[in-house]
Amino acid sequence: MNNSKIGFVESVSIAIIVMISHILLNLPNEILSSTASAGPLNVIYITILATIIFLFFNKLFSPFKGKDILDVAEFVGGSILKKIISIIYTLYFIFVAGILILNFSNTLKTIYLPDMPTELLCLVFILIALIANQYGFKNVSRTNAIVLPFIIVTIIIIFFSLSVHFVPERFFPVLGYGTNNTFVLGITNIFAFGEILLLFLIRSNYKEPKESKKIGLTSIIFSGLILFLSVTALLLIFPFATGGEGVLSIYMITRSIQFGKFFQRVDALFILIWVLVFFAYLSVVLAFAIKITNKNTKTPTSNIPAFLICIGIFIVTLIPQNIAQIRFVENVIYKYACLIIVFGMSFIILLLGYLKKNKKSLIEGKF
Amino acid sequence: MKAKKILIFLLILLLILITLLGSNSVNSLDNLAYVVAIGFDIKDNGKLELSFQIALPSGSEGSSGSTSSQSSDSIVTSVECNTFESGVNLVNSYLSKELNLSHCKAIVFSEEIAFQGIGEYLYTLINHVEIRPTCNVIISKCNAKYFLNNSSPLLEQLSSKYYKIASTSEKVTGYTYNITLLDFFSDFADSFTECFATLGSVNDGGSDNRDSSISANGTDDSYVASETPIDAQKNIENLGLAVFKGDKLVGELNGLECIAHLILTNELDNAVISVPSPFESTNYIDLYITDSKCKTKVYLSNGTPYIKPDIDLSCRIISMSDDYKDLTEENILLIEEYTKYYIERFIYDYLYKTAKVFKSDITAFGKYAVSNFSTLNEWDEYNWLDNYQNSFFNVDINIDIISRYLLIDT
Repeated sequence: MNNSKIGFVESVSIAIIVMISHILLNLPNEILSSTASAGPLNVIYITILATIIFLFFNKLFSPFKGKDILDVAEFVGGSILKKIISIIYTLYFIFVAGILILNFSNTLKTIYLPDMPTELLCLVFILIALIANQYGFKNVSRTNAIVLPFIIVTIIIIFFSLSVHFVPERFFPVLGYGTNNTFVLGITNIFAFGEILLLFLIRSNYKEPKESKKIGLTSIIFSGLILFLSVTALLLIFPFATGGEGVLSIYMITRSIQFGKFFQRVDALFILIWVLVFFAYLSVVLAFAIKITNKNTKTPTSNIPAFLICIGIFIVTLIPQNIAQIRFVENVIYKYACLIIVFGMSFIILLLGYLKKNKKSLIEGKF
Repeated sequence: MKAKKILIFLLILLLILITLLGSNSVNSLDNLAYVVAIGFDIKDNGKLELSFQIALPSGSEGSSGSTSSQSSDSIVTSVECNTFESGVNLVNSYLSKELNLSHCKAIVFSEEIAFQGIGEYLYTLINHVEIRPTCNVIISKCNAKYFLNNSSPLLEQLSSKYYKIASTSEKVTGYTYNITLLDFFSDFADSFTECFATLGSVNDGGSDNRDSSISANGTDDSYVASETPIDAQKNIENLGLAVFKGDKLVGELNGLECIAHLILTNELDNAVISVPSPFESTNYIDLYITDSKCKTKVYLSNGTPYIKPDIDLSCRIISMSDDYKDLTEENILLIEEYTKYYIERFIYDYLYKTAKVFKSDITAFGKYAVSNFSTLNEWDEYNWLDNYQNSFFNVDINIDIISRYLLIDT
């Protein structure tokens, strides 16, 4: 799998599908509940910040061409640090995948499958991801690239078909809950760009390592644009979105879509496409968790880590007892875990790696 | 490689086996009763009375040759209950079928229950997965059960289609406005507007026992639902708007006031208004409003809202008489002046009625006022919805009248 090289489109698709999965559940609502009418402004702000952070991280990565963040960790602290970091990243992926799948399964249960146990729905998703991963990382990323255009089209359809119902005045007051909430506390909303972590891990799989900057920038800007469209659509349609009341916010939007008198109730079609997105999402996250574990255990072809990770994801889906706990885990624990692991820990590793490399180069007279 | 193929086969087999566990629900048409409309009433003992208009399957007893005034393709079943869901359960038990609300086209609240507040029902309805946010909300001047019982699609075969078609008359007349559940709930939850709904009632259809003093100013557009002097079969009628303050009904608007509302909210498609003739005091000139645009500015003067709607109307004279030759340029200008005065008057009436009598900003002027505030905290502190009653207005109207007939062009 380590030899599975992927191109520009597959790489960008992987990053975007993660963002879209979060958007489909509750990300726009979470941003609006903390920033209210300043939501779109906050999205622009965090997209710019994420771009700057990525460029800075990319600079820190520059001495490590063709290497991913685990290689950098090994360079900084040897195999022990690499193992610790690998375990933290794996646990992070297991946790995120488990919570997101549980949330989506609950959504499906609420809307279409009231008699189906949530655990069974989660199991179906996990099994499909496991089967997909038997065909390798490259095939997973290619499938992902096929699914992505469909979901992008649905988001564009949602935005433009409902634009006639938009109330542009809902952009006001432009500062929402104030400058502090929008620009200072609002920085924490950068967790929406947690997909940056995948870009750190995927670097060793690039066909063209020099495209890493282009891939990262495209992923962030595209994700930012999709997030902006979603947040704007939600804000301009639902006044109650800013109160954090819309739990299945994007689904609520789709229920209002009608194309004349003939095409109605198109939300069922959207749900079908979203199911595909979550299959793709879980396959990607599982692929990354397997990649990290295999690299850590130096067992590149073993299936055992894949089974263990799937069991881990399934266990995570069993932990929350009710929707309130899922929301708390998703909106609070995931948010801060993402900020600490993706933006904090990764930054420290890269900075130390950069400094060590520079020092070494200076000693060797190469820098 | 072979082991991998076996593994994949086993995983796929497991996936298929999961679908055979039988934990998914299967509902066939035989198990379901499709609700076309829901009515909410309040009983004297304070209990909720829910009425469901249920579509009859073709071939069943009621679907052919029914002689009741009720729609022949549906029945109305009512139940006294404490909550919406318990009412649904009781009806399920009685019918031995499961009520399916996914085809519900109208939600009817009686005036009585609306006066007491419908907030709790709104949250229940908007949270219900089966009820579409696009179904219409109607406030009935009569009992909701009576309203549903008298909903007989005269020119349609299906009740559900009838509700859909009936609500489109607003595009032609401007005498009412079609409010969906989502619109209603959005307005209810919004901080810069109040909610309003379509006003409906049952028109007895007989002109003999009608109160002749109902239309006080004598024009044809000053009626509300049930007052139209139509001589026809008893049926439901949607005319006017029901005005809310919060979740409580506070008043109603007639057809002309509804036109004023639609002009100010830029929602008017077309409408016909009868303007007193400047040439002969007993006559009226019919004007067809073809285009309507309103730009509104809201200023805050010492905390008091000063609202300035700027309206542009294009009208066409559609009444024709043998004195058409009198439509000279001077006379057209005179008609414009009269029309401007007339429209200005009923718009002012509408504005002061909503501000001073109802104290309810159903026109959503708040959305223009909100740009005067930089943060939501300032906006919330100002409390627009309570301050709207202090508003004063300055309406500016420009009217462009054209007249085009087959015989003459002016």
